[in-house]
Amino acid sequence: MSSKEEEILKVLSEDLLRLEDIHACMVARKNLEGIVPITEEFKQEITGIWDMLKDTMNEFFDIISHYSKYGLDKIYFELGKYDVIFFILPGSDTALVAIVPTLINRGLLEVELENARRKIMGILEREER
Amino acid sequence: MNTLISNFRTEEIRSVKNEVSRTRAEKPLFEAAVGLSREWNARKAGREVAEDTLKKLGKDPDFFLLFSTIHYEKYGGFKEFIKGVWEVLPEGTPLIGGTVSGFMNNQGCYTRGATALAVSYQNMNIATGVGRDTKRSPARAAKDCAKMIRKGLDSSKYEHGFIIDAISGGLSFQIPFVGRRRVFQDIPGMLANLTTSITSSLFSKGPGREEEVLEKLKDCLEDFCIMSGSSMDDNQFISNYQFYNKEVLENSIVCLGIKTDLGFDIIRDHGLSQTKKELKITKISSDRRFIYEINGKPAVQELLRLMEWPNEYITEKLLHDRTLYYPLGFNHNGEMAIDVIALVSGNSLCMVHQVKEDTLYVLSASGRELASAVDTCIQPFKERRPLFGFIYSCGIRLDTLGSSIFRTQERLSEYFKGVPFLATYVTGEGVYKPESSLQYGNDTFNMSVFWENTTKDKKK
Repeated sequence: MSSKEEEILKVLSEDLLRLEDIHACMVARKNLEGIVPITEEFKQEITGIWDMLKDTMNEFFDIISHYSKYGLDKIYFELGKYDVIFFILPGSDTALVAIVPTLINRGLLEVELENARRKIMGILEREER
Repeated sequence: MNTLISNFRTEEIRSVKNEVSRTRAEKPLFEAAVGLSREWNARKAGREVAEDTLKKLGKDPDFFLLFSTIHYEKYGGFKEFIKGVWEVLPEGTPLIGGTVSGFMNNQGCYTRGATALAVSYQNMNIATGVGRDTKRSPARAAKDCAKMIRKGLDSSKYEHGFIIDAISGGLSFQIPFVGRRRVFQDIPGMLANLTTSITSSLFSKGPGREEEVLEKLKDCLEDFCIMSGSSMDDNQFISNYQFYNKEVLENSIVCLGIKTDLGFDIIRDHGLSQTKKELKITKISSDRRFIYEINGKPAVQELLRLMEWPNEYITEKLLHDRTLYYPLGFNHNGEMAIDVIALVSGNSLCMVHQVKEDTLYVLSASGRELASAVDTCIQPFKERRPLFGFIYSCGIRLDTLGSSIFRTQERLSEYFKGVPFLATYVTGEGVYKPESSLQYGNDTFNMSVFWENTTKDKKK
């Protein structure tokens, strides 16, 4: 794993996964290519519906890759007992994705998702300079 | 001997002359700084937030405002957090603060972490005060706290006083065998009201009664400006804490009193607009929190009818989503006081705070309207050169705006231009100025700014 990926993994593991309401998070594109930390808790909570979640998320990644260049910033969808939130990395086909329960206070979580997105963008941009 | 006395007197005179020269040459130095920690561990976070703030301040502070999110409760506890702060903070520094759902400062917006605002200034007297057991004895708690502030500042030569406080906010209660929820459709309102009273008396859970605390505080300190915020957690309303010097408290009011030659003011706004929908309360509990009937009909049914909402809206999720965007307001002392529905019990609505009038207006809270309050508050300060800013804003606004709150931070950063500011998100906001009445409620944005007073300035 490159140092860029390690840094992003650290953001996901330490900043986001430690928040009680985040069941899973990743920086990914279609087919969940990307950085997808797996935790035991993640497996236990959503193992039963993981394949369905993956398929549904893939549909949205098609939308993201098409509309990101027009400024598509976030997508939310509700699937059963879960909300899936995409914070799109600007102008790309990649998003910071979080899977959370439906009854949570999403507003507070969004602030930390935005902080994580900005940190990840900073890591990626630093890499490219 | 005569030579000795003569030498002593010469030295004494020289010393006095030096002091006078220094006083004439030096303008009182003002310094303020805001610090941050994003550490997960409570002890490390306390240490880091104090280190970061004091490094930026560059000297010992005259007071230290400290706020954090609730996370440290599970990552070491708040006693460890405070110990970490005091590993760094000079002994005897006046400190107050509490837990909040989020905060923003010059560095960004956060719903996890700790922040502090510290000030150092010669022309300022500081006192702190505490009052305990706010949920059971709000008036006594306020009186105890006010007494300490008065005692601490009575000998101050400065005329104008300012109070920042943190009061323990409401806690959700658990009904035995039912649990902690916001919708109790099978439990009649009167029974829920009775249960609330009992749990409040026995366990200090339930309504925060902050408005009662503030009424008494204002009566005792009517010559001060007061800026009040209710401590909270992350919108679960399970616990909240107040910080008072080295103590971590619950169910308390903590106050910082300032007397100074600086100019200051507080501007409050909500940005909400009044819809045409009006509710006449026809039956309400004696504590004015549980609304049993509206327009002579069961309150919940009548609200659903007026709002044209289906019965299905009365669920945990939709109640939260819908009611945040339609807070209820009443005209009190010439201002619109805003309240939100805390829970639904049977056909009754329980409000977060006392509803002081019988006519309620449905207000609307779009994202744009919420954001506009920030500009309204900044406008009166545009001609001022701020030394620092402190803001209490409602946690509802943070939850509603979500990541859009970064735009608020950008607006404030544009105004303050590097001058330290700190905004914290709380669960009830109060403002009092001697020339006007006490205003208390939810969903508001309250901004205080301090500036150097010139002889032409009048304190507002």
